[in-house]
Formats: sequence, structure tokens, C-alpha cells
Amino acid sequence: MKFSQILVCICRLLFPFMLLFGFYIIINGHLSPGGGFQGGAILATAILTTSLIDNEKLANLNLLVKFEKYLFIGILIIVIASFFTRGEYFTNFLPVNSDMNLKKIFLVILNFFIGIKVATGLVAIFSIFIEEGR
Amino acid sequence: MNMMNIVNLLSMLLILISITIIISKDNLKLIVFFSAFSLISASLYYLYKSPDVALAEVAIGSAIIPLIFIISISKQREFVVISHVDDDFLRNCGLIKGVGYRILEDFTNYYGLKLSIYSNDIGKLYGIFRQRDVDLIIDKCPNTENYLIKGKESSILMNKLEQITEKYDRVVVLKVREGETYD
Repeated sequence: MKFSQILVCICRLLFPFMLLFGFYIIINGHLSPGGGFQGGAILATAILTTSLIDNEKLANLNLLVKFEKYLFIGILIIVIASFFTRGEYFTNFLPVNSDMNLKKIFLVILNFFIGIKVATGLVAIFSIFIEEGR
Repeated sequence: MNMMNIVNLLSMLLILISITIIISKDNLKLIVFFSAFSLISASLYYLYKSPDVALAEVAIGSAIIPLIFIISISKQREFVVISHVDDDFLRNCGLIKGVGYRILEDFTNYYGLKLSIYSNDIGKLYGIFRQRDVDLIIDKCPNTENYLIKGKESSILMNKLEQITEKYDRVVVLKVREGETYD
């Protein structure tokens, strides 16, 4: 598909700001509305619109799809880490009576991994949908 | 104007837009209306004090869903042909056109489709884990030197293709049943 020059230019201009906003929502997820899913959806929107309009910029979506599978192992490791420190799954891996500012680390890490996972998952769905029948 | 007035106004606009979506016939216009619908509903979510849902609605409803519709509309008008022949039959360079290319061009112009021909490259991996959806396969019979055009039996377009190819004596149309192999 051939797109007009104005659209391509605006798309290139907006791409870093969309990425920035997505990462802001992911990393601030434990303090403000939003979090992993919402930020991941914004990241996926940025990647998909750029790859559809400006073909040369993001040529290889398959690399992101491969990256998704390794991220899943990361989420599992974070979730299971609490078994070795506290003795039960799916909770914070820091001790119960530790400082509140320290406990936030768990939420930030989990939000970050979930955000990247959602973004790459949506990109995977789309790259299958775009290349169907080609 | 207090907040309740804004909410009422936006709700009325939402109803109007949804009626327009149902009535309108033009597909591309409909996508723009759909995008406006989800933006207005996102602002309504924000006014009803759930900014969490509004963020997800803005990202998904106003960008990803219109993208899905645009891609599927542009896919609808494509006619995929795979060729296994490597001579002049399907050549297209300016004024000189092969016989087969002229047949397919007439056929796709009749139905207003976009013709796209791919050569034989089954070894390449397209997509991630799915088969390609093919409309026609063009082959050459080694014994009789005839060109074979294979298509699905269930497709209605094949009858028109048979009518066109009646004039050419070296071109044969074969109808393949749905489950049989494609290679």
C-alpha cells in the first residue's frame, strides 16, 4: 500500500511520544490509573500503526513475536520467587514487615513484564492477521 | 454548563453516531464513525469516574479495532494466484502480455478485484503457522503442453472463468474439491 507523505511524516513524528506515553503508564501503574494492560495496549498501537504506515521502519515483526515467548518465562519466575522467600505462590517476594517503598518493587516489575507481554501479544495477533493469505 | 449537561450531550451524540453506523453503506466512512464512537464513550467513562477503563478504551477502541476493519476491507478485494510455470504464459511487462495474464486481467476487471500473482515459493515461511489462502493455481501439464488452471469447485467465480477460457484451445480449467491437496 502507498500512503501520502503527510501521513508518513506525522507517523514518524508521533512514534517516540506514543512509546514514551505507554512506558509512563506502565511504570506509574502502581500510583495512578492504568497499569500493565493499558500501557501495553498503547505500546502495541504505536508499533502497529507505524509498521502499517511506514513500512521501512519496523520491517521485522517476527522478532517481537519470538521475544514474547521468553517474556512468559520471566513472569513465571517473578511469580514463583515468593515461594522461596515466603513459602506461598502469587504474592510479594519481599518479607511482610519490610518497608512500604521497598514493597513497591514487586508491583513495578510485574507491571513492566505484563505491559511488554500484552504489547507483543497484540503484535503477534496482528502479524498473523496481516500476513494471512499472502 | 455543569457536568450533567455534558454527560447528557455526549450520550445523545453516542446514540446519533450508533444510528449512523447502522444506516450507512460506505465501509470506510463507517470505520471513522466507529472510531469517534469509542472516543466519545471513553470520555463518558472518564466523566463517570473510571479513568482506568477509559485508557483501555482509547487505546483499543480508537486505534486497534479500526485497523482490523481497514485491513480486512483491503483484503476482501484481492485475488491470489500461484503460478508454477516459468515461461511467457503469465508475463507482464508493459505492452507485451502473456495469454494467461490477459485472461486473468479480464476476469478480475469484470469483478472489480485486485490481481496479485505469486510464483512458486512454498519453502518460504509466510506468517507464523498458517497455510496460505489461495484462489487459483496455474500449472503446466508435462505430456500435452496444456496450461491447467485449478480452482475450488465451490467458488461461483469459476463458471465465469470457464466461459472466458472457452476461446483459447491450450487452456483448461480444472475444478478441485474443497478437501483435496494443493501443491
